Amino acid sequence: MPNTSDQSDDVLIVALAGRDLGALATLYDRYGRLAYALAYRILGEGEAAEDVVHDAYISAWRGAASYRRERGNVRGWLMSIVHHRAVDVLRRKTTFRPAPLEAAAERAADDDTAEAAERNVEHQTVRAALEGLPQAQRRTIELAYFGGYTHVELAELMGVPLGTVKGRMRIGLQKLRRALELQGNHREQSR
Amino acid sequence: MNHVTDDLELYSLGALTPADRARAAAHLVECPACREQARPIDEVVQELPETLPSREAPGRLRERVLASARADLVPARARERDTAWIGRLIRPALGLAAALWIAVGAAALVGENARISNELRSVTGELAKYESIAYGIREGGRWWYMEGKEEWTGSGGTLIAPRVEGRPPFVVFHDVKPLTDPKQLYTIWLVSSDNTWVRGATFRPDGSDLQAVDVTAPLAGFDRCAVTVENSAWGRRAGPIVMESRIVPPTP
Repeated sequence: MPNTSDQSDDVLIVALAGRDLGALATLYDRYGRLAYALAYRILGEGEAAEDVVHDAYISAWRGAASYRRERGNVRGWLMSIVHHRAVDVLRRKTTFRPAPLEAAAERAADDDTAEAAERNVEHQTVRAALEGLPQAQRRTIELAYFGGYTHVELAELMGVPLGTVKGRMRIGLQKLRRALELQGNHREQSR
Repeated sequence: MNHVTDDLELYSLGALTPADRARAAAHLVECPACREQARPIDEVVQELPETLPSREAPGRLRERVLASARADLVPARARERDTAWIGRLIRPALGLAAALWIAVGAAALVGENARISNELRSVTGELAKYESIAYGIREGGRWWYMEGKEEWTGSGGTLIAPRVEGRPPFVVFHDVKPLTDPKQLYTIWLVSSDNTWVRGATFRPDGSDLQAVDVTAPLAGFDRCAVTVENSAWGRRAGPIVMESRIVPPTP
């Protein structure tokens, strides 16, 4: 397999559009684990998560030419494909809805403690920022993104008006953004 | 134009109903102002997977993704002829052992038998473990020898297509000429009749007399194998062909 491991994502996505298997392999090595974690989190079982990650990467392989840098980075683009596919699969099911994030984290920690300890600072930063949100905002965001609930379902589930659901999402994401920016600035200053 | 600024968080989090989502997506394609507002929201949402605990994907998933992508590169007619190669990769050490076993037969064609036999003796212990693999190769494997050209005269490689389920094709090189430029790489290509070049592997000589390199694309649908020297591990072929061989008989 071609060694493309030191190439930037932007270079790899161009190579992917040129049907370069090495670029696909490198993007898998770089983000496959994250993609699988996301799909598993949404679907709650390994086989379906595998299918989603497979389909998402093949979709990226076939549609790399449609990637636009101005709409986000390659990792975000890949994760959005995984997310959409996983939520689509989830919504076709009626029996499974994932547990809140805390429970999932506890389960996974047993599976992969050593690996979890190696997560880099950026991961910890995002997680800390999310956990720093008021519970109602955090839960609304988690249930929407990881749980695949629509805002209408969330309003019903949480017993609040639609406007409240929207408001929690908006304010929560704004706070999350500020927290990430602030922590990013702190990291820069401490270097 | 009905802007979707009120729904951008819902859109980015995937919390719109399918109909509303389609409407928002269509609007975003047309509206730069809404796209501009959506971008910082998307950037935050795209960080959410990072909050998840790490979870190792099954090892087979990587090969499954790559196999599907490879299949995309091969004409449908060829896919029908041969899809049995898709499967688990055996460990490199096992690959080398199997490669040496078959290389004895292949190298007899080029007078390398004695030296390869010495190599073989050094891995006899491993060979015993993988007798079934060697048996499978003997019973059905095919190989094509590629002779070095011009300044690569004396080098060569045998492309081997073992008929062992799950074992990909591989090339056993002998006397591979060292590459002086550290940026240079040998690249194995599979070439179809319409002159489509598909990268099968990239490697640098490891200094040993024999070097086995797995080919990560199926042979079906290709009628030539070539080795070039490239300055990049990706992209189109640009370097000189240093050895090559037809790998399937011409269609009558």
